[in-house]
Parts: sequence; C-alpha cells; structure tokens
Amino acid sequence: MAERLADKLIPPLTAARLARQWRGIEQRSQRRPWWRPGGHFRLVFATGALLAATVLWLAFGRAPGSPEAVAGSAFDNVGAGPASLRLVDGSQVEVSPSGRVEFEALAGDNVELVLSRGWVELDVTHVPTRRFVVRAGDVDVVVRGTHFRVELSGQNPTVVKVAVTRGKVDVLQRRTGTLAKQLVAGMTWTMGQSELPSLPAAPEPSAAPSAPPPEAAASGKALGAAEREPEDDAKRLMELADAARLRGQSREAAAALDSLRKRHRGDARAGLAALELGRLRLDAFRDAAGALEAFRDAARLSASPAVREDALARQAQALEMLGDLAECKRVQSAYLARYPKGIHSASITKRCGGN
Amino acid sequence: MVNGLAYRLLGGDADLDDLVQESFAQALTCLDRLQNIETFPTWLATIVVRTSHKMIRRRRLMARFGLWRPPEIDWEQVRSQGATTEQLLELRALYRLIHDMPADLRVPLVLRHVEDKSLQEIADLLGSSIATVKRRITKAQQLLEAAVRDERELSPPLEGSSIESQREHATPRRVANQGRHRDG
Repeated sequence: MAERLADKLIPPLTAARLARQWRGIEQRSQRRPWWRPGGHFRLVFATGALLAATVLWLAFGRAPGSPEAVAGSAFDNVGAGPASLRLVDGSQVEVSPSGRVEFEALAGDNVELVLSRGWVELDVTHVPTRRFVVRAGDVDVVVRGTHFRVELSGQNPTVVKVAVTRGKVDVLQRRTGTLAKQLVAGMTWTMGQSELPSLPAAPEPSAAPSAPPPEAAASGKALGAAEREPEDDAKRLMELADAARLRGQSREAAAALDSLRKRHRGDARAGLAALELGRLRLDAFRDAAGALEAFRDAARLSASPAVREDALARQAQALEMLGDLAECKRVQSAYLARYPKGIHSASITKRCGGN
Repeated sequence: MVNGLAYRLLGGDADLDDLVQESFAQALTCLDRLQNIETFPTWLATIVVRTSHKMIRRRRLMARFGLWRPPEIDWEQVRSQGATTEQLLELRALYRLIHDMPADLRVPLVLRHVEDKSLQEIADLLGSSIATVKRRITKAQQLLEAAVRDERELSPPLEGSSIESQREHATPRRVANQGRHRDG
C-alpha cells in the first residue's frame, strides 16, 4: 500500500488535549471585532453548522468501505491510484493502477485469484485449513494469514516479484507443483522466465535473518532467485531489520543490522544500520560498550550529516553509561562545537556529569 | 486531519494548539463562504495551510530576536507509528533543515514531500499559481542542498572512512528525486 511520509508523522493527541483545543476555539470565536454585530448569535449558528458539517462529512464524505469481490468476476482498476477490494472473510486486496485481478474461486476452503496485470497487495485473514492462492505468471503464491505483495513486470509478464510483510508464503511452480521458494516476513523474491520448472526445488530458507539467502548449491543456479546484487542484499537486510523491529524482535533486528554494516560497508545504508544497531544495543539490550562501538562505526561509515550528528550525540550517552566521564566530556564538547544548534544540544549539555 | 496537517507544517508540537484553534476560529468566522459541504475538508485544509504560513513567518521573526525556538518532533513516537529506519532518517533530515527556511519555501516543500500533494493541490491550498509553486519548491530544494553541502564542509569525514565509496546523497532522497511525484 502506497504510504506518505505524513502517515508516519502523527501528533500525540489525547481526549484532554482535544477538549482544551475546543475550549480555545470557543474563546477565540467569542472575541468578535466591534464592527461585527450579532457576534454571539453567529457563533452559535456557525458552531452548529460546523458540527453538522463535520457529522455529515464523517458519515458520508469519507470514501465508502471497500467493495466486496465476487467469485467469477474480474476487476480492472481504471483509476489513477490503487483500489481496495474486500473479500467476504475480511481479507483486503489492493490493486495497482491499471492492474487487473480475476477472482477464480472465493469458497470457504479455497480462494484463488489470478493476477493478469500490475500488482496486488493482500492482507489475508488467517483461516485454518483454507487454501488461499494468487496466481501470477507461472507461479502460484500460496498463503495462510499474512500480508504480502505480488507484482507482474510490466515489460515481461512472466517475471513475478513477491514481497512478504507479515506471515509466510510458499511460491510454487504451477506446472510441477514443486516449491520454488518459501518467503517469510521481510523477504522479497523475484522469479523470471529463465528460472523454470526443469530445475530442482530450492532448499528451505535459513532461519537466521542475517544469513544470506540459500543458493540451490547442488544444481548450480538458484531456482527462481534473481542474482542478488550486493545493493539488493543490503536493502533486503534493512527490510528484514525493520520488519523484525516492528514485530518487537530486537535481537533479530540487531543481527540483520550488524550483518548489513559488516558485509556492505560501502553501501549507503551501512552507516544508518550501524546507528540503529547502536540504538538497539543501548536502549534494548543495555549494552553500552557494544553501542559505543556501533555509534563510532556509524560516524565512520555515513556521509549523512543527520546520521553523524546522532552518532556523535549517542556516543556521549554510551560513554556516560559506561562511566567514562572524561571521554564523555570530550565528545560532548566536540558535538557542541560542531552542532551548536543541533537537535541534541539541550540533552547533551546535561550529560557527562553536567547540570 | 487538522492536527496532523498542522503538526507536519509546524514541524513539532509547540504552537500546534495555537494553530489548530486559530484555524477553526477562522473557519467558524467564514463558514458562510463554504458553498459546497463536500469540499469542507479541502476548504478547512486551505485555512490551516494559510494560517500556518503566517504563523511560521511570525515565529521566524521572533527567532531572530531569540524569542522563540523551533519545535522538535518526538522521533521515538514517530518510530512507534511504524516508520522504517529510512523513512525516519528522511524525515529527520528534512525537518532538521527546514526550520531556517522562509515560510514561502518551507510550506510548499512540506506539502510536496511529506503530504505528497500534487503541484495543483499545493497551488490551490496556497492560492498561488502552479508556476509559483514549482519555482518555490525548486528554490527550497536548492537551499536544502546548499545546507547539506555546508554541513559536510563543517564536519569532514573521519580519516580512513568508507564515505568516498558511498553513492548516498545526504540530501533527503525525495528532495533530490524530481521525477517521482504525480503532477497536477
């Protein structure tokens, strides 16, 4: 689902705060200019009209709930943006602009969708013993309860990309029914025309999120797995770390970040990975020494001023926790000299035994 | 909706209540000008954007005399909203740099890169032409890039670092990527 940065930047609101805001609105509205007669009447009328407008907007003005899909039907999204559909069990299907999906079967124990064009992103309700399949190109993506995306290449519709956000999916070769790949949360995988049924099935995926994806060693070429460029691997590791962090699995997230910054030191994400690793070590594991090492590495690796500023400030925090106040003060001075208006200037001033 | 838009335009929690109250008070005053109830959300958003524009200008003037400090966003709370690491970095980099920017440039930049508005939508919200909006966003991006360059000069890389091999642009990615947005 397309996200705006705005969707992640939401103010902290409480009922008390909203009530305080409404009181303020009322007070401001009562301060009518002297040349505006009937101010109070206008306020009462306007408040009522505004509340009515708000109620009407909430009731009818929002986009209607997702339409339900019907077995045997097809859906072509002719809109400019993604379109959402709902299955009877509550599963959500989002279809790309100009995308097409056909609902072959929508029974209680068997759901089959065919992706003909574009991509679909699904949030599938877990139903025990039900088979839920998305067919795309020459593969079947078989799921349980999960959130994932299947995409057909615009240039070559036999090239299929599958990305899993939550849960697990099995990607099967339709012609042979054999398992091409099993994907867990955080994994993305692309299958192209050249990697087809004559090759043996891929081995089980590694359990450790930081380990590189297993290659089909005996047969040589990896079945279905695109040759993973280092940048793709770094991206994948960052996605794994984010997914693990969102699930509350700090150790897994730390492992992925550590792997990224060690194996891809020239990648743009390496410094950020080191910074995030340091944060986890300090905040989640209370490992100040490990955090200090990671923060120093972040400052070395990253060209981003924001990352380096954070890394320097966090070094002071780690040093304070370790009790090394002399070094803490040195870092504190370096930070304040370099970033006098920095976002950490107020908090770092209080560290290292200061204030 | 009003609180969220106001928060992102102001870049923090300080003055948020002030902006929300002022926007609603203006809406109440001008409610008779609302001709089509279905346009209520956009109409209200226009008031928020224009009121925030004035507020940011006033605050910048106060900041020059040391009477006001820019607000800070609680980034831990942003992380808890499910932001990925890269989204967090992008937002932090953007908001770190825009506080010194004039309102004329800052507001369209935030509407474009955080709110993901089209140029036409931004022009409607600001009451400007598309050409003006494009010019201001381009100027804002230039200022951001200049600020990043200045920062790099002030804090050179450590000896033996791997920075030279990176392909990263320290400028927030969306600012540098001109072609990704839909245009009205």
